[in-house]
This record gives sequence, structure tokens and C-alpha cells, in this order.
Amino acid sequence: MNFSDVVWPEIGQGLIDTLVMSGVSLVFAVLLGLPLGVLLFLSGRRQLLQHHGVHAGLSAVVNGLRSVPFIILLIVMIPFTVLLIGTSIGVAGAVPPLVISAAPFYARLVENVLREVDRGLFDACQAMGATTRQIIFGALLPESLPGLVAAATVTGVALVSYSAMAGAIGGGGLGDLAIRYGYQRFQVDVMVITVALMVVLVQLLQWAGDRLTLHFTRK
Amino acid sequence: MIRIEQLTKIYPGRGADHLALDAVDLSIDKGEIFGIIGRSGAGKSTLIRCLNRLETPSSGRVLVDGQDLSTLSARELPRMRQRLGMIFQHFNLLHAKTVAQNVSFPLRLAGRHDRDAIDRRVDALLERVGLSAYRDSYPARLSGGQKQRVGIARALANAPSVLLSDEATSALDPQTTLSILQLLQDINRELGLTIVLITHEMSVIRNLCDRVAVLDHGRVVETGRVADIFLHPQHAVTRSLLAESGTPDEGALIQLRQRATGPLLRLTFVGDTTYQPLLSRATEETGLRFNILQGSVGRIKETPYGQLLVEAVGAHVEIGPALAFFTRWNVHHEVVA
Ligand SMILES: Nc1ncnc2c1ncn2[C@@H]1O[C@H](COP(=O)(O)OP(=O)(O)OP(=O)(O)O)[C@@H](O)[C@H]1O
Ligand SMILES: [Mg+2]
Repeated sequence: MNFSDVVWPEIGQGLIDTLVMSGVSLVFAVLLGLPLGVLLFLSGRRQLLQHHGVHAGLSAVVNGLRSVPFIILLIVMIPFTVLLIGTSIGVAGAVPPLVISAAPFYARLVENVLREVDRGLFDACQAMGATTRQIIFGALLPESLPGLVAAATVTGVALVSYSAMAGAIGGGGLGDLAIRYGYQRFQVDVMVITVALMVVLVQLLQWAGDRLTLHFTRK
Repeated sequence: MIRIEQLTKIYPGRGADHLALDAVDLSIDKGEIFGIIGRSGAGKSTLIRCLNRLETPSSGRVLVDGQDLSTLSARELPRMRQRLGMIFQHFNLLHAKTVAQNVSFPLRLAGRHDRDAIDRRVDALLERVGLSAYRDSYPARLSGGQKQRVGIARALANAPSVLLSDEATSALDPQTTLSILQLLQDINRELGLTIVLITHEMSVIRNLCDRVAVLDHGRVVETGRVADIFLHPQHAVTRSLLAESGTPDEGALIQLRQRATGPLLRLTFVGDTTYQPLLSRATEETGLRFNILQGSVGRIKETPYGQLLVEAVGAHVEIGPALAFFTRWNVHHEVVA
């Protein structure tokens, strides 16, 4: 293995593509997953907005989406992705399936994080005359911010590796490079470099997430 | 101030439902400190949580200033709750907020936005509870007593007319408990605040309350002025709660009675009579001598009291004149059979 015929510009572009794909997907996954998770939590048994029907419905959707293997989701979503953004390939084409797979994942994590909030806080807020809305934005979310950040980190890490899979159907990014050069052209050096980059990326992401979580922790 | 009428709460359970409150009637006056005591599971928390509707009664009514809580709409309820401050056993502070932010939180909930006014109010409250130095600390850095002080400041922020306290000192050591009770008492005096507190400790009732209700299995078994309940408990639950708090117990009485030759009298002195040498005077007047078998003296809230179990001894024990003497001096007496 020598690294002489490695196409560095392509690797650089792949890295950027991976960052963009997972970054953009993470933003949308959080934007969708957070309200979904909050609703999942609040509609649960003995919670503020307890509603069996809503809870069961959301839960079924979340479970359903999470039970579809990502590689299948990628293919099944092609028509929808084309409809949504005009293409199913490239970085843009990879984003919708990544979001659809990560949002329910994040929602479930959010639900679990929120369950850890001491119920006594809701009592205190209600006793102070807080409305449900005020409880959500004034207590529930601020109190669980460290947990929400940690959950977003986990989701981000999952997105990095899922984005590599998106490369399999022409999604671009490091995964795409690994498959095209490493697998199809037997260029092991490219494979090694892309994998190493992914490992470093995940490490960095986890480190940053941990720092941020700690930054918001007041306990 | 607060009227509780036929308040009943049933928790649906697997199989059998649980009757947590059984037709409770109570009336709490403006400006008083009203204690509710009972054993674990008696329904104390359920009762106090019905007072600000954290719990919805199954039947019966709670009236605050004549306003029936069950008639309040979802919009009106938060307004009403702002008039009823509440503190908790585990403080329930917001960990992500500083001490000052915790105290200003209810002000913001109430729709106040003038930052200067809020800051001034927060400073005054923190000063009042002795926590000015901890303004910008996070609750995790505070001791239990300090956390409860934050809880109290927060509960007082919207200047409520009633403070509800659910075992506010149960997680604190005895020393800290006393300082918190003192703070509650001062606030009660200064602000004329009505306080409803629940506890399972008689000492809290004795130190702080004007009146008390004893709750057992969801029922009020006894209610009255604290001194009366302490000195003349009627119900077995009250007696056993008193016995645990170190008041002379009934078990020893049986032994004493077997040894004694003369009649036994239980004398209760309250207030000024506590300071008089009444036993000596009774001896002078009646010729009887008194042998003290058991006794306790102390204070209930601010009122001094003494309770003695004495044996009347003499050549010809004629108890009538002695009883007349004690009646004249307003000493509660009871011949122990
Ligand atoms: N949400 C609930 N669902 C079902 N049963 C409940 C609920 N809350 C309380 N109970 C039951 O009602 C009874 C009274 O409970 P409550 O909490 O009022 O007692 P308590 O006097 O405050 O006791 P403690 O001193 O232990 O706090 C208990 O038997 C309890 O198990
Ligand atoms: Mg309780």
C-alpha cells in the first residue's frame, strides 16, 4: 500500500460532504425530533398532557420508522426525496432519508431524557401558577438541556456512520469514496484514509458533545 | 380564609380503590399557622395538594377566600395559585437556574417583565431569607437549609396570602429545622401570612402552630388549639404521636398507679399559672401533700405549660378541697383512675 496515487482533493471534498450531510441532517433531525420527543413524553401516562391515543400513535410511528433498516429506507424514500428536492443522489439527496431515520431516534432519546426530570419540579411550577407551555419552556427544556445535548451527540455520531451508508447509493462523502475507490477499485489506501477520517470525526464530535453537555450541567 | 368541606379523594387502584381522604371538614383562619399531622400514608400530602388543586378532589369543596376552586377555569387557576405559595420536602428548585432566577421565575410566570422591579423584589426576598450572598449560585452548591430558604423566597415572590408547606423540614437536620421554623414564624408575623403546614413530627406542631388537625386514614380524628391537643389528647393516634415525641407515655402510668397509695391527679398548668408555686399553696390550704410522680414543663409555641402527675398523700385524704383549689386557680385537673 503506497499513498502516492491517493486523490487528496477528492478526499477533502468527501470529508466536507460528510460534514455537510451529517450536519444538516442533525439540525433537521433535532428540529423534528425534539418536538416529537416532547410530545411523546407529555402525552405519556400520568404526564402533563396525558393522552393515550396521541401517545400510542406517535409511538407507533417512531417505532415503525426505527424498525426499517437504513439501507432499505434509502431506497424506499427515493421517490419522496426526488419529489422533495428534485434529486435522490448527491449530498442533498442523502439528507431526507438521514433525517427521517435520525429524527425518530432522537425523539426516543429525548423522551427518555425528559423522563429523568424530577416530577416534583412540575408540581412546583404548577403551584407557582405556570401554564403547561410555561412549564415546557421554563422548566422542562432548560432542566434537561445537558441530556438533550448528549442525546444530540449520540444522534450526530449515528448520522456520520449512516451518511457513509448513503454513499452506497451515490450520496457522496467519505463513504462514497471508500466504496468507489476502496471496494470497486481495490485501492486499500483510500479505504484506510476514509475510515481513519471517520474515526477521528466521531471522536471529535463526541468530545465536543461531552464538553457542551458539561458546560450546561449545573448539578 | 380556607374552608374545606366534605373533601374526599379516591385514588383508583388495581382492584380496590384507595380512599385517601374521607369527608374532611376543616376551616383555616386568616393569619394563623395551621398544622396537619398524621402518620405516613394518612393523606396529608393529598390534602394539602387539594388546597391548590395539584390534586383534583373526588368530591367535596375547597374554598379560598370564599372562591370555590373547582369552579375556576383553566385560565383562572394559575392566577389563584399565585395567591397560594408552596414549599416542598425536597425543595423542587430548578437546577438550571441560579438562586436569583429561581426566585424571579414565579414573577415572570405572573407576567411581570420590568427587570428593575423584578431585581429589586428578588433582592428584598433574598435579603429576607438571609441568602443575599448566594444570589448567583446554582442550587447544587447550597445546603439543604439554604435550598429551603430559596424555596421560601420563591414561594413568597408573588406576595401570596397563604403558604402551603408539605413536610418542608423533613429532609433537614434538627438545628436547620429550627431555623427554618423560626423563619416561617417570622414571616407569619411580619406579613400576616396564613400558613398551612403538614408534618409527621409533633415537635414542628408544638414549635410553630396555633391549631392542629390530626389526620388518620384520610379522616380528621381530632382538631383544636395546639395546647389543648398536646395537653389533653383524645384520640389514640394523637397520643401515640405525642409519645414518640418524648411526652410522658401511658405505659409508665400503670406501674406508677400500682405503687401509689393515694389518689392520682393529672394537673395541667398553662400560661401564667406555670409561674406560681401552686402545689405549696395547695398544701397550705388543704393540708394535703403532693408527691410528683411524673412531669414535663416546656413551651407550646410561645405559651409555657407544665403537666404533672401527682399523688395526694396525707392522714385523711379528702380530695374535694384540693380540686376546688385547682379549679379556682384555673389549673386543669383530672383524677386518674
Ligand atoms: N397518585 C396516587 N395514586 C394512587 N394512590 C396514591 C397517590 N398518591 C397517594 N396515594 C395513596 O394515598 C394515600 C395517602 O397518600 P399521601 O401521600 O397523601 O400520604 P401522606 O400522609 O402525605 O404520607 P407521607 O407522610 O408518607 O408523605 C397513601 O396510601 C398513598 O399510597
Ligand atoms: Mg406526604
